[in-house]
Amino acid sequence: MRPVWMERPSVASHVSKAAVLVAVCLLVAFPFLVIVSTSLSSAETLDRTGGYVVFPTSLDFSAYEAILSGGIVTRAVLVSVGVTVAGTAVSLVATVLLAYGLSRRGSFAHRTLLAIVLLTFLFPPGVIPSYLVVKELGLLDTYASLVLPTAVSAFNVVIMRGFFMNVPQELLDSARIDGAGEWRVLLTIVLPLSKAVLAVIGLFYAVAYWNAFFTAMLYLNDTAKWPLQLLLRTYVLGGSTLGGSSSFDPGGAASLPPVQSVQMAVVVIALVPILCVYPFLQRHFATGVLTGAVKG
Amino acid sequence: MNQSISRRSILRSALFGASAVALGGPLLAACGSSDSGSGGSGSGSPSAGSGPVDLPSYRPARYVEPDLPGTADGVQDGYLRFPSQLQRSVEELPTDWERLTSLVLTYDPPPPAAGDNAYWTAVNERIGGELAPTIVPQADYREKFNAVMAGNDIPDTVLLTGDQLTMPRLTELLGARFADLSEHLSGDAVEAYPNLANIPTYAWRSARVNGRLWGVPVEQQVLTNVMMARVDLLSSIGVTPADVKTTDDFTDLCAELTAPQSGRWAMGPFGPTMMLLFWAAFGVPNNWRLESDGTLTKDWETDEYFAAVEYHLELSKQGYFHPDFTGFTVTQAKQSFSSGTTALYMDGLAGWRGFIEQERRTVDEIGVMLPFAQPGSDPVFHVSSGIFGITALRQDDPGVLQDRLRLLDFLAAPFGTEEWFLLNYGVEGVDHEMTNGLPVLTDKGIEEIRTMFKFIGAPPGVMFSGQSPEWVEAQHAWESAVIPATIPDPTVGVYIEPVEDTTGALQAVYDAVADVTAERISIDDFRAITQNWTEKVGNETRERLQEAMG
Repeated sequence: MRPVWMERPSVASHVSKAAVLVAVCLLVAFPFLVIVSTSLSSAETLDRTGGYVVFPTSLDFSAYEAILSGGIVTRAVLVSVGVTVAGTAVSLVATVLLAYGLSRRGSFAHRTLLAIVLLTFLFPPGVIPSYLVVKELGLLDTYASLVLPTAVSAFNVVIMRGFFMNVPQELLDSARIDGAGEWRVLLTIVLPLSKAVLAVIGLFYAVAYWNAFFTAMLYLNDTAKWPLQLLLRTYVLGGSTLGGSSSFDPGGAASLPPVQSVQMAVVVIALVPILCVYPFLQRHFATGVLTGAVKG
Repeated sequence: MNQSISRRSILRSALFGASAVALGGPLLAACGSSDSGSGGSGSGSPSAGSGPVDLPSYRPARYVEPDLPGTADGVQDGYLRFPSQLQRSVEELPTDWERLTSLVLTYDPPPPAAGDNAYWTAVNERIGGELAPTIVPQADYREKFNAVMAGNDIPDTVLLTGDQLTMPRLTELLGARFADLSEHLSGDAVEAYPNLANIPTYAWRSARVNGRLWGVPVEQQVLTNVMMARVDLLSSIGVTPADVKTTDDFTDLCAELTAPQSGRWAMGPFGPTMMLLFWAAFGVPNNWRLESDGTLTKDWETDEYFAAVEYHLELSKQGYFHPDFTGFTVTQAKQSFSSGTTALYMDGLAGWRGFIEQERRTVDEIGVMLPFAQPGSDPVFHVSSGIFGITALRQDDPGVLQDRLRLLDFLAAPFGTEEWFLLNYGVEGVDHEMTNGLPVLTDKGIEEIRTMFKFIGAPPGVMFSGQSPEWVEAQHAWESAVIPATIPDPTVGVYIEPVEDTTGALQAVYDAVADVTAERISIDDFRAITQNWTEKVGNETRERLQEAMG
């Protein structure tokens, strides 16, 4: 007799699984639907529904027009894309080099360096010490301040180090016998075998850079350098229409889109880029996150 | 800024930062560093000198006679039409300066960058230099402020809001980093800056710390939070806001307004600090009450406060609040009121104008409730400190400070002046268009102007609306009716070193108010929490306040 998991599933089993999957998908998709629908709704629709819309009766793009028309958001998107791309590249290079060094037994002071890396897990730097270091390094109000203070994550180093340690030693030995140096071993043997972990760690870094607003608030003085997330934060937290909570407008102004629509449009704008990137990296995700989960 | 790097400088900074964090705030770092600015005016103990200096003299500067005059105690001037002739209020501006850096907060998205902002360029051209504010989202202002202070990276002007003015070791911070402006502003000295002399006396109280003046107030209407009403819904049941004079009237009104079967309730959420009209109804002290023997009593130490809470609970039990009111966000609460799902709504007074101008409502649709009282009693109404914050100046030579004060004088130009018009309407054809004699902001103007310079310096507010003179009349009438019923907070302008964990203990009470009004805890539990506040920080705070008040 075959074990139960090898039996052919019954129709009832298929149906129940499908029902559960559909329910879960709906649970995930429904908030997205509400967000998109609300962002496309007029003030009248919002008034009628009490604030959240599932199916808009008519499409109103005024919230998107208001956000995107002035060029501020466009500029912030460019800043965010630039910081995310450059930051992810810097972080990956730094993390790969550090993790590779720490993964090679016998490399110089690797135990001490590993202990220092792990120490940042236990004692993360506070806001003010970080600010003081950035200031002393002359990085205030520069794009570098959005990247360098968070360039290396100890967590990602540990994950990547674990992956590198699982690369068969025999491969590395044979490369060395053929005359390869450490750089060649890293670039032609280790990294090509580590695409999965590179993709996942790269995604971790990219999402972190894309979502970061606090470092920008802390280190930047010029609002023209603000990344998207900090800008969007003012829309979401301000709770005001685009005219502003205290803007003085004695003569009246054009009718402004409702707050709720603007907030939801902002959420959509923030979500879209990551949604575009995620499917291409998703296939690496399972491999990457399982790295180090089971220690052989 | 010195950007040279050395191992020692990084270590020293890191140690200052670590000390500040360990001691619960950035001020140790802010005050402990030895390289505190450049001598000049204002260094030294903030309590230096004998007795408190006089507050700046109040010299009203009306460039246009108001149609509805205000009063010195808080009723704003009202204007029903736009002035036909604007006047220049600032003839002479500093010449020996290039850039004024500022740290301010914003509730709005930031304006376009300087090079892409015609408004910003026009203001800079008019004043002959560059205004360069660092704009920080309001929610993050505390962190940014603390970091800037710890880094001793002080801009020329810094906005200190209520959050900063109640922080530990405020007096040391002011003495170490900011200029004592007493000799420039106290008494009649303020007359050198006519537009600053136009700021009412009540607003200056909070700028005087330990007897010295440390900043220029950014004035804010003393009547802050109000209960707005859907006048059209009240009219449908034959009631006007003025008809509600007692708590019994209010209870009856709620009963008539509430119709769950029609999807309508009397009220949405009020929040722990927004039960203003209930406090008014039961005569709750404004923060503290100064007793005849000179002692202070905190509002939640009075029976009146608990009576107000019980009244809220009673209305809640009757079902007069929206069933989801405890989970409402501010936006939802406003939306419910706007759509008529709820008929009464607490918000800032500025919210009324927002409904009229931005949502194109009329005063026949949206109005404001007058305070009411228990039968046989007179209502009271709480007034705020009358400021949004104060603008403090970094320590520098007296001449430089005078130049900066003249720039603040420019920014405080009142209604009816060319400067005010430029600061509020920017460039014609770009930021505004003249339509029927009224300047109407364009979308570009809204985006460029926002709150750019208003939190560096601003004139006292006035009421004017090209769209709705009716709103000006209605709000002026409302303010005129309410101001005589106001009671002050006796501790405004009294600065003490906060007792340890004051913020946490206060928050515990505010959370408890939310819990008790949502019936998550009993009134006895709530009373126990307030008593815990009294024992933990209240008694010590009271003693310090009483000592400071003499």
